[in-house]
Amino acid sequence: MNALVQKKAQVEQVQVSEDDQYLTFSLAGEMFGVGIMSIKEIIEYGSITSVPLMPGFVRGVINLRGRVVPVIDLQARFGRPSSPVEKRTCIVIVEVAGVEDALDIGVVVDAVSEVMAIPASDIEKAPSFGAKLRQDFLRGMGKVDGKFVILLDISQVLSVEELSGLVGHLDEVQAAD
Amino acid sequence: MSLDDAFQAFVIESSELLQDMEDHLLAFSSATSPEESINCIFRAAHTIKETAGLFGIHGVVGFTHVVESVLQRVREGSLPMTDALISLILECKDYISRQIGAIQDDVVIMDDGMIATEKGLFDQLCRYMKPGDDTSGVCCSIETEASAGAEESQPAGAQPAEKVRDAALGNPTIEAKDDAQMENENWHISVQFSEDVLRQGMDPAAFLRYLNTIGKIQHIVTHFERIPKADEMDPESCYIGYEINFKTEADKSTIEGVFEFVRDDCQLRIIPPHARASDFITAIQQVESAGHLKLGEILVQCGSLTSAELKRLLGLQKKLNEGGEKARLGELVVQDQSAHPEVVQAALHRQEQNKHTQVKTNQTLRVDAVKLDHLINLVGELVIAGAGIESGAKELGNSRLLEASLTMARLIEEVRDSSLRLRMVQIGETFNRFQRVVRDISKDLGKQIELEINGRETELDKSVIEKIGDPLTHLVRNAMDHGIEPPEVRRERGKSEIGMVGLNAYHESGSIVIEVSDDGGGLNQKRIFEKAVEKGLVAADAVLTPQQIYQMIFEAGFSTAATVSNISGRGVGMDVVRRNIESLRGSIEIDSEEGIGTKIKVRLPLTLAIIDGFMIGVDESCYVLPLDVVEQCRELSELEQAQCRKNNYINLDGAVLPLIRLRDFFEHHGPAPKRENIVVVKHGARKTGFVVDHLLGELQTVIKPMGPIFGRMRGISGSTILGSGDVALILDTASLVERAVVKESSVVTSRRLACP
Amino acid sequence: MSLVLEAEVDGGCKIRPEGELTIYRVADYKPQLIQVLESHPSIVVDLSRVTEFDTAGLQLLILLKREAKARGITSSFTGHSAEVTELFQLFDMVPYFGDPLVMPQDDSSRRASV
Repeated sequence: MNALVQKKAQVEQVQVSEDDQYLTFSLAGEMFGVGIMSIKEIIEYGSITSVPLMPGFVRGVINLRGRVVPVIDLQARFGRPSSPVEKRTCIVIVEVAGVEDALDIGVVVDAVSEVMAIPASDIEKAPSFGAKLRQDFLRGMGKVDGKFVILLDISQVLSVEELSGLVGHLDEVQAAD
Repeated sequence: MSLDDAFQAFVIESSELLQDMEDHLLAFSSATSPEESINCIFRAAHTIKETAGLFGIHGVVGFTHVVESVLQRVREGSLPMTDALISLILECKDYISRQIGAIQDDVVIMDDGMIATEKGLFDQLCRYMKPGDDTSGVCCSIETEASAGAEESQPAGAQPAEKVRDAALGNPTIEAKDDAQMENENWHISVQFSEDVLRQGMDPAAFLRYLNTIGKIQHIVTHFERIPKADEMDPESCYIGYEINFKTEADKSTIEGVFEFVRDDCQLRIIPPHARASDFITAIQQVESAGHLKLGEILVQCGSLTSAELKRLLGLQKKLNEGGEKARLGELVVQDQSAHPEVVQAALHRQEQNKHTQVKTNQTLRVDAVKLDHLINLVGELVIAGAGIESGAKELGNSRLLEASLTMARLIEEVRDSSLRLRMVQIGETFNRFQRVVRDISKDLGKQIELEINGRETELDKSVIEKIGDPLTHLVRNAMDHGIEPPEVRRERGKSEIGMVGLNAYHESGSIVIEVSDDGGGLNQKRIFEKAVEKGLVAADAVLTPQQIYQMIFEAGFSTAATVSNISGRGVGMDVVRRNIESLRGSIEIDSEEGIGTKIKVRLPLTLAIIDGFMIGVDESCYVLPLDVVEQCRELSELEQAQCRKNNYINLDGAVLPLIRLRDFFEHHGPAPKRENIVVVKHGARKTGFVVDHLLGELQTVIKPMGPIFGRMRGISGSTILGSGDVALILDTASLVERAVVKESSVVTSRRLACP
Repeated sequence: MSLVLEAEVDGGCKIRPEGELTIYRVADYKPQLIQVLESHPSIVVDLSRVTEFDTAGLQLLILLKREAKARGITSSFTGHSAEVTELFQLFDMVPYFGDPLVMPQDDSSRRASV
């Protein structure tokens, strides 16, 4: 029993420490962070098949080892102009909860910088305005060396329900245009 | 097997049994052997009752018992299997299935509707019970079980039902026998020694003493009638035998063991107590793989018969058969009283059952569909990887590598075809469901209609089968409602009053064709055309082929029926049917002759996992069109090219062909080639031309799902991975056309608004 | 000779087999018994001296009883020894012979359960 409690505590500790780690990347000069628990891998940007008649944030689909994975343009998702594709542009594969199973979605970022630990004490509540981002997309603002890292709630940013809704809606709007 | 698993097995087995029951009921009037049919129906009910009893589900036991009792009367020949009774038993079957569906924690949870249904069914069943059955005094375990069940599952006010149950329990053929044997709770041992026993140093008395050590001799009758007259009697010979009523917990072989040393020198019969019969029956149910066991072996395994007895009886059987008699072991066993008739019956049933499942396991192996899907996915990836190697080999120009990759490609193709075949199932089961549909609807419609089924063994992918049920139901209903004329009309037309609806399936050039036919009035081309004009679907002066006219019935909001019935004729349905079929990448053809009948042919791909496609290129992208919608493709002539830039239509073989320029439609902005190509796609009667940059040829490829994000997207039905590793999108041409129509009409409207 | 012809009362005969009345002796006893039956109007068999008794012995007694009856001779069995009683009970033959028999309750139940 005691051992069990201990084990549980250990697990919690590990989780807590992993929870504190973020993959940081840049988008149009701004630093963003996503909890590493939801990051699966980072791949080179390339051979994206664009899907016609899609809202702007759908960059297309890629072949990820035999599976067809959608790629989302984060900038477009945030309602900002897309960044041009450059040498350091890459695709971060993120795992989000789908309707039935977990789902892989790729997001395009300008450059990946590093994995850093940001303890909860260094995270401030997101400002109610000023970040120019939807409130529910934000988990908080991490303070690193006096600079701010925007920590994203990736499950909201890549909410399957919302994205598929937008795809379907745009589909109808376009068709009716 | 855990109890939960066992229960699940019960649920599955019951539903199979109920389906069996239904099949036999529906086929009863045309059954070659009505006796065998009624036996099957009875056995199904009986087995469900027995198994439900094992789980203590009293509600099911009680109800099924009454059904069984009525069936028993039919079996005896004292009750005819009328149409009305078939209908009633069908309803009972539905109700039992509802009961089983409503089981929670071994209790049937009944809602008010079920209580009413049960009461109604009981009252009806009651009419088929023997009148004046004296039920008083008959009280056996089943009755208490049944009434206990009634208390549990039925609130007050269920009195009549219980009465029926009691009446059912009074059924003398089952219960009286039970009663007589209930008295015999002990084993009966009968021994007749051969004359040499004493001389061999054995004493029959010793066996009695030994028996008393493993149980208690309740009663013994010693036979000494065989002792001959004084002068003939050899005092050293044994003439006696005995009949023993023996009470013991020991099993049959232990008892037999007592007589082991005289086994060859005596006639031994060990008759189990009645209480054991049910034990044996239970044991029989548990005998594994009884299908390949002989009856005797099953009885031995369950402990009802010992191997020595079996040997003796087999010897007897052989002798009788040599003597020209046809002796069946089961009958011998019963005659010999080695086992109870019920036990033998149960063993025979079990053998039959297992033979059945054995045949099934020989033909089919139950595999988790998920595993199969996984395998097929992997094979799909293998196909893609193989294509990658092939194109790599081509690039390298290494002939050995190229040859090897071609060999591999061929093997991969075989692996793919075989693994896809794993998911193929026969359409028979789907067809059989229509027996019921036809029966029920023809009743509602007041028409006499028979269903003729052919091509049951035709196989197609499980994923297609799952989706074909609804459209088929619509087509069958439509045929019955609109196709088959009312009996008066049929008489006038000199047709048999009994209408015929047919279902047929067969393979044809890589696809499966399912036909729904009727021998009804046929489609009235003139009326359809008028209606189409009226609805604004075609111009009044349009010249259409019969096929084009027939296809009109699949347009939204189209119904030629003068009256709207509750079966069909509301104009929803047929267009849904077409959409469903097209979403399966299928197509519909109609043959009809007025006054003779209509035949609707649904053509479907064998599988949804693989597509025969036609690849086209637009700008940098590749798209795949399903090959079966592609009618023709060619380069556009200069004239046409100019025309299409201007008007979005060209003249194709004298008819107007609307065009969709994919480059514009998909907003590709790269430079257009000098010469564009056209792919003509056909949906029903409507043709559309897709203008594309390049024609890249046919390919057979594995369809990859696009994932939930694209779940609500229309116009693209899926994707596939090309040999290069790139993803190509598969176009859903029908919805693209629809979309283009909507888009254009809105453009036209807005233009009109813009320049008044 | 262990089949003792004890006495003749009213022309009847009383015999008392001694020791074994088993498969080993029945061949000897049978002709003697038949002879007794042929020459006497009644017969009494004293079984008190029977120390071993088996099914063969039982058969012989049954034969005796049946033959006597067939010839209109009265026969009775007396003084059943414990061994005889046990076997009679085992085969439930007591009613057949119909003779009163001293039931050594404890004894027989003990034997029966051996």
